[in-house]
Amino acid sequence: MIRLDKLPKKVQKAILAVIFFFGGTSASCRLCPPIVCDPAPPPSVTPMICDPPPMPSSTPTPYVTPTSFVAPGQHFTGKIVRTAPNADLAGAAIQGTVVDQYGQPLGGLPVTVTRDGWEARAVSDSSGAFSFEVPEAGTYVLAIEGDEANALTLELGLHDEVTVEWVEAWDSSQVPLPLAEVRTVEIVRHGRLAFAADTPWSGARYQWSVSGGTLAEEGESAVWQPPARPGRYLLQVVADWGRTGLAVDALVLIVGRDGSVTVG
Amino acid sequence: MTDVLLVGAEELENLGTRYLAAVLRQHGYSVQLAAFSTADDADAVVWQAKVTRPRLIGLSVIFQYRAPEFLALAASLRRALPKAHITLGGHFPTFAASELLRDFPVLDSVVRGEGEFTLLELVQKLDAPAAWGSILGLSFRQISKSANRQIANRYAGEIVENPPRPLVADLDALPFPARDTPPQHHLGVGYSPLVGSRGCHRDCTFCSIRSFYSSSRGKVQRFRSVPNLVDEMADLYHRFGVRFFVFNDDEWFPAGPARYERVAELEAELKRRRLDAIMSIKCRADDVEPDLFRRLLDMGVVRAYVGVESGSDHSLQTLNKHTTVAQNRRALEILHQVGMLADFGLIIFDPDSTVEDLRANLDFLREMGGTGLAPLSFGRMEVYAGTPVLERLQREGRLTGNYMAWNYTIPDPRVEMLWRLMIAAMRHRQYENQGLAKQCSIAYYELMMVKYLHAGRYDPALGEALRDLVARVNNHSLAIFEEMFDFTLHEDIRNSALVNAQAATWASRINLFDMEVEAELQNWREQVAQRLKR
Repeated sequence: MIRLDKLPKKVQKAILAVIFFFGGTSASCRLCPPIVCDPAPPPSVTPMICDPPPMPSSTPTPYVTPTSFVAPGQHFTGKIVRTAPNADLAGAAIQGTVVDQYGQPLGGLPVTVTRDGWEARAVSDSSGAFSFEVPEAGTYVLAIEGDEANALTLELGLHDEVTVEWVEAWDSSQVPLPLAEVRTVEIVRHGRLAFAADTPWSGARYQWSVSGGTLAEEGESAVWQPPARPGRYLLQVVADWGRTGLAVDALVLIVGRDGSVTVG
Repeated sequence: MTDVLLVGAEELENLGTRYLAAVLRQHGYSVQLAAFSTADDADAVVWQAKVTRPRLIGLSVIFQYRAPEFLALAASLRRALPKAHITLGGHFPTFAASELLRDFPVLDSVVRGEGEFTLLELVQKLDAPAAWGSILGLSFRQISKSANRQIANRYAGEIVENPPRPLVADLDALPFPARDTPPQHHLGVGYSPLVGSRGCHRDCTFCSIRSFYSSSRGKVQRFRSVPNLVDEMADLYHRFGVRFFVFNDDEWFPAGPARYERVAELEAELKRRRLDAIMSIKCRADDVEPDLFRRLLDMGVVRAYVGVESGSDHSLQTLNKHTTVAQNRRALEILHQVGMLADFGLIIFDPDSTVEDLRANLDFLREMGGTGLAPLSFGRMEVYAGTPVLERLQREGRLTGNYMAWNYTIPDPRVEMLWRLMIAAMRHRQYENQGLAKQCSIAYYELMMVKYLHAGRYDPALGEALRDLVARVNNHSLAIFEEMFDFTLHEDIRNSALVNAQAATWASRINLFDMEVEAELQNWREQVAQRLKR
């Protein structure tokens, strides 16, 4: 028999991803977890109970390359914020956030969870969030790579969903300055009124603004509803990578008397 | 099929590639020029290479920050023309020849130092690689006869760095730059860059010009004779209608009293040839004297870019400028009194900048730029290949990055933070071509053209309006800068939430201000255009 923990880490990850997606180590159907498809459901449950349930909120974070690493003098204090049952889980789940001392999210950091040779890895996203699903109950060690001395030991029961928070701290002499890198962002027009923020760096939080009209924004994209009044209006986006950097770009949008919109 | 394709930036006519082309053509080789002003031009350059199928492609890298774009272009050219010889030249490749050949197998060679005769010899011996070892000024990868020329095998070749080639002793012996297409025109005026000299007699720490030339045998600063220089001006004047000569000399003047003699000679020659033209020059603050610059203005020198560099004596010392703030102030005041457009730039952040230096620089900027006589230009010292400051910071272990792009941190965190805030909030206004600072600078050029070359249609109110507009932009920048300075002195600069929020706020204020003023500048330009149409 092939032991999972004897396989290369990449292969382990691939197999675990398949296992997570198709419903854990048991042969049961993930779409009909045993606890939901109990042969004697309570009467209040609708007959459609075995239809596909909504996707669990704690789907595994797709692995991306870390863009940030623990620096000399930097460490993280972790704590468990909440533990709650989640019947949708085949095993258990860990979710959490990494923030700096001012509550700003820290994206791009590699986070690992390990147990007896089993390991999974994720990277915090632009809001500082990361998440894992683990196959079974047990004792897991959660750490930010490079700061294993401050790892958290988590006792997870079956269907437990635990939320943790890591707060960054620094040795007093080594607190870094913000805006560590010079970064850029550019507003690209994708249609008459649709715009997108374009930057080669991932993980930014975007904040759009416009000096007239209204804006429907979602992340890196925005759609402008111009005002009726002709004039020059400023569309601006701020791309914020937390301590790593910040970039701003703006476009002048000119509304003509005939309602036409041109870029100044 | 052409012999050589020379590729370089062409915001203004590229004199480097044009001098190379002129020498090659003088010896019977066919040469084409290709414009690579931004990365977006890459496809056009590759297309031109495919059509002309040159045996050798020369890439002229003027600015180090563009080296990655040129290297990416070299890779595309290699794919398009696997057998062409690809060589790199310019300041940065001169100082990083071995590293570039080591790391970029698409390159066959690097032409170091002044390139005209090294490139010529390379073209002459292109089919005889065994003879490349005798080409002074060339670095190349030795590839054995048995090795095929696939890129993967190029790493294996030994890198050979030949001794430097002596400098061109007599600049008059060079042909005039090859100008295949008419020079650019604006507001009905043809304008061209040219040089009357090469090299500089000073040794500022941030500049690679001295090391570029002094690594070869010969006199570092050399001048064309005045008749030879004016011959080229007359040719451009009569053949292409050029009436605005933009001198791009490293330093326009010779050292000491010799500058008076050169100016007198040039004045007489221009008068004799009856060239009714205007000029722009670059010089040092200690070149500026009232009598000399009055004379220059009478000759048609309407703009001088003065290498002031700092409003702090401490910084001027660390930059090794051999000038003082008093000299800088005097130089700009003389130019203002004379009535010459006085452009200047300040390196307000350098590896040794202190809070006191910044205070002094801000005061200097307000004093010299607050009235709008020229748009403000300020920034951080970048550490370029071949500069004395690079050597020093390497010795001190203060650099991060690598030879393609070095970086450093200013020891005082308040000063470092101010630089970071400035680049985050003021990038567009100060450093981008479409930014207001650059646009104001262009408007001043336009004003010079109207004032001196369309004098009958010039209205002093145009000058007043532009000065008022530029003063508002300058003072807005200074006000924001003062706020940033105050912030770095008194707030928690390690608080990323606070710092980022402030940077975004300043950027927003600048963008809103610029939107309004850009519209005014546009109106001003339309007025100028209307006047010239009448």
